[in-house]
Amino acid sequence: MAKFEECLQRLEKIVQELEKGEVPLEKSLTLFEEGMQLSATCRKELEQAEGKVEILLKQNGKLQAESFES
Amino acid sequence: MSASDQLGLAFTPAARRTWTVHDLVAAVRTHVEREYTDIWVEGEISNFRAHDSGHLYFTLKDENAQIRVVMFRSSARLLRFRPENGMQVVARGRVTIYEERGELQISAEYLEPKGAGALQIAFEQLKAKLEAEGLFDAARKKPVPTLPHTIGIVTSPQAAALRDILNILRRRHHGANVLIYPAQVQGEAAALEVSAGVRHFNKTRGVDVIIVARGGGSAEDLAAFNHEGLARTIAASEIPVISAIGHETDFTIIDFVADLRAPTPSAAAELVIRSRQEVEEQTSGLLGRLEKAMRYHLLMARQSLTELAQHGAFGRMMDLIHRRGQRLDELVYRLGQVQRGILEKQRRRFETLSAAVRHYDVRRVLSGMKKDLAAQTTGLISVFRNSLLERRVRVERMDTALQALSPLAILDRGYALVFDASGKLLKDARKVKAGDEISARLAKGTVRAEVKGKKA
Repeated sequence: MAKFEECLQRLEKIVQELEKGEVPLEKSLTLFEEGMQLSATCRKELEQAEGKVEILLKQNGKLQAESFES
Repeated sequence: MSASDQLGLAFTPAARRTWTVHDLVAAVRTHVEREYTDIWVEGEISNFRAHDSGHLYFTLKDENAQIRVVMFRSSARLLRFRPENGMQVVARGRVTIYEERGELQISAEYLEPKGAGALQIAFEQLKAKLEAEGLFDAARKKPVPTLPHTIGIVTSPQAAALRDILNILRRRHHGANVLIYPAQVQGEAAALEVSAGVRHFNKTRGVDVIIVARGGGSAEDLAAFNHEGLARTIAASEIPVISAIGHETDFTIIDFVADLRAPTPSAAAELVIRSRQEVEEQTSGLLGRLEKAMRYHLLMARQSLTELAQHGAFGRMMDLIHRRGQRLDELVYRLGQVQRGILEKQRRRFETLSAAVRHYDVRRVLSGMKKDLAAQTTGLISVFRNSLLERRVRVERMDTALQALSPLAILDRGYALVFDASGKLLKDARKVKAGDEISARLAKGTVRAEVKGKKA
């Protein structure tokens, strides 16, 4: 859950580490690659959110999520 | 005593006195005001109206009666709560009559929600108890996600609070899902239903954050959120909880145990999600920084490579690489040769074989022709040999003729070649002077001489 935030935090960390400029080239390439992947994941996560609004209603003694029209 | 006396029919009216309306109302007013100067009266507010002047007008009623109440601005501005229709209150004031309308009314100086005093004491006591247990500690508070995937809201589906939250979420164009747990937010069952909602979300784990929301109301309305059981449920929640109860000035116990207190339900929505635009800007900002940092790394790497290249050691290394490259080329070339050799051998073998095949077909024809050919060849060879001999004689003769043309052959005929001291052939007498040493090459041997004199 809240995958986006974790994703963004890791990306932020990678960028900061790269910006320090102390990592060796080999490592920086690995970090860069991971960063690019994270950025793509973030974007996907953003696009995937549907913004649906549901309400839990009791049906046969069980709570079921149903679409909520406000 | 007659029956009619007993029934009062023998009543004789006093001398007739006719009042003016004003005198009457004034007289009653004086009487009433003297009798009811400082009273407490309890009832339900209705027809509430707050006038622009700051005065409040409303009706207090119970099941059987009602009375008008006015509260002047000087008293109204001291109120700690906002009176509303349907609210049970206790008012303190004096009874009077509004002469212009002949209406009985209370001029109130003080107003408190009924039972508020008792509620306030209970509130302070519970607050102190939970605080002592450490339930309000900042260290207990969980961080609230700024971009949750799904938001759980425990509230009444009819509440304005819910509409406010949904409006904000929609306005921010964020795609977060919303799951509503419907609960009463007022009355006896409210605390239990809201608790059940928080527990449900903790059990099903379908949401990243829980908002417990309710719009504004009287202290009594909000009393459900001062419930100890609900406070403990929220404190125990493993999912972050945001309390969004009433207005900014309203504080309930759950505001203290929640991970975050939002002043209003709308504010809760704003706290729980940042705008999509802001998030997208952050994401692309990070991506930009990532690329920039990487470019810098590559630039630095290239620079140190250049430095290395200028360094002798690297030059030697390049030399080594070039030499290896050359050796590789050579090996490749040789490999090619070997391959070509093999191919050539195979080609030849193939030709031999095909020749054998062809031979087989025409062998008999050829054997006849072969004999003729042999005979002819013998003849040809002797002809060729004779002509060769003839040529050799001619060549030897030409060689003698050529020899006669050679300068050395001329010397044989008595000529001499004269050289100066530096060994250059001398063709002009002007090039020497008396006393210069010269040499002359004869057909056999050389003589050295000195110039005695010369003729131009």
